[in-house]
Amino acid sequence: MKIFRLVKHDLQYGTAKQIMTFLFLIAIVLVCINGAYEYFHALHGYNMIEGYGNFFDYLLYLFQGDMIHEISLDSRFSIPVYWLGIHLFIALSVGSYPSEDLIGYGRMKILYSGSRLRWLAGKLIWMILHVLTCYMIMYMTVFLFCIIKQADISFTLSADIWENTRSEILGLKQSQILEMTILLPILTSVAISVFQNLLAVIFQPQIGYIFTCCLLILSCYWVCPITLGNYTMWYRNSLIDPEGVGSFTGCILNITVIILVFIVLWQYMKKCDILDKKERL
Amino acid sequence: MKIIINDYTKYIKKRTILKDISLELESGKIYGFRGQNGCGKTMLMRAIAGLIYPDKGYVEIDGKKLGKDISLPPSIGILIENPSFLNEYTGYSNLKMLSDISCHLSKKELYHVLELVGLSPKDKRLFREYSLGMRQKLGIAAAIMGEPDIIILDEPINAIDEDGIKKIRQILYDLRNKGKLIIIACHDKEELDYLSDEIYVIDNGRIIDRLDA
Repeated sequence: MKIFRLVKHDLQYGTAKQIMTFLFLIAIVLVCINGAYEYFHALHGYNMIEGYGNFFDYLLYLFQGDMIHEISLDSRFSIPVYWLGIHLFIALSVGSYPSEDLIGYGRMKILYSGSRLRWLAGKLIWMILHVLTCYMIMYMTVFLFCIIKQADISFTLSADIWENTRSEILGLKQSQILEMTILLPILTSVAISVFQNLLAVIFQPQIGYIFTCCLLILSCYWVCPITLGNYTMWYRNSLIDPEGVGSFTGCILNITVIILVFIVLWQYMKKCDILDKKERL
Repeated sequence: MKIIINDYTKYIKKRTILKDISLELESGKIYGFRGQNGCGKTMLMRAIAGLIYPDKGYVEIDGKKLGKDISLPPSIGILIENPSFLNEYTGYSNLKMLSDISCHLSKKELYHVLELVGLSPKDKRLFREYSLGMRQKLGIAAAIMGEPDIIILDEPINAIDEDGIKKIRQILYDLRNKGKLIIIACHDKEELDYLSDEIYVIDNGRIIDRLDA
């Protein structure tokens, strides 16, 4: 089918072409989980934990984000740097390809595919796959780190580690933990990416980047259902912190954003003029 | 194949780009668009290709309105201004990618198209290393591959050598004789007169004259 050929091309040119830039993402992940490694070893050194952490512990550490801030005059501004680095990387890597494709080689692809909707659907599929690729690279980095450091490859968290930090997680079912640490961050990243690209296609990529930066920073400070960044931090899930955001709300909201963006983009693509870059500006 | 353009008017950023354009184009002919830079030739070609939609009027292809019944012409090859290809791939790879999306030509057929326009299919040079003439030839190859029903070529002979121009003329005649609808824009008056069956003269977004070549 033509749409899958369009996606295949997008993966070759929009994702594989950026392969060297993924080193930045890997570097961010390595620095973060190396910090976790030092922390777990310190805990072990003080006889507070038996082991040194396993694969899932490192994943939890990577995607924990930050606790909910109480905004007051005395509170210090604190941004979870690794979390921000990861999501800014995703924003940068997914942010401009669809809009640049539309005014460049993509014009030919639209004409030869015979359908604007096909091009758009292909781009949406690409965005989802690209975000998934970013997450898979992060998981693989953690996996390889664990192999090298001889940590257990296990999907069961170490109770003694998390007893000392967020003991609330220990009372949860495995499905709940996977939902808030795996499913929700991925779904949220996809939703943020598609909205970013809505702004990039209709206006400019820079507008999309600015929006995503503002959303992410706002999410650090403001815990509410619409600041989507909160759903990527399991520390801020309502199962961990009652003031936090709910998994179910997050899933519904993110899926709604994705569908609405697609509808808006489809309406836009049905009517827009496909022009050169200099003619658009 | 019949294209009807009726009262087509287009504004972009409050400028009138095309005004009250009405045309009927049929298969088996080569139509030439002539006019000065900025007169609206390229925009008219974009309108026929479905890349832009009108503020007034319509383009109808075999009874179906662009932008309403269909979003794009069902069978089209196009070369507009500077061809956009991927710099990191060879000419053959660029064509193959487009062919995979549209007409699924075999390797042999793609080789034939490249040879037809005077490019070597086995040339390992990347598109970024191509000369202007080579880029233009690749653009023409992309437009004619699969022999689409509508072929639009904007300044096809730009930067092309004498031998290349002869090849392109022959290609266009052959395609016309096969019943294709071909639209070309060209600054070279003599060349346009030579190639076209009918010529439309465009000025300030309007058709001011129609000539039989």
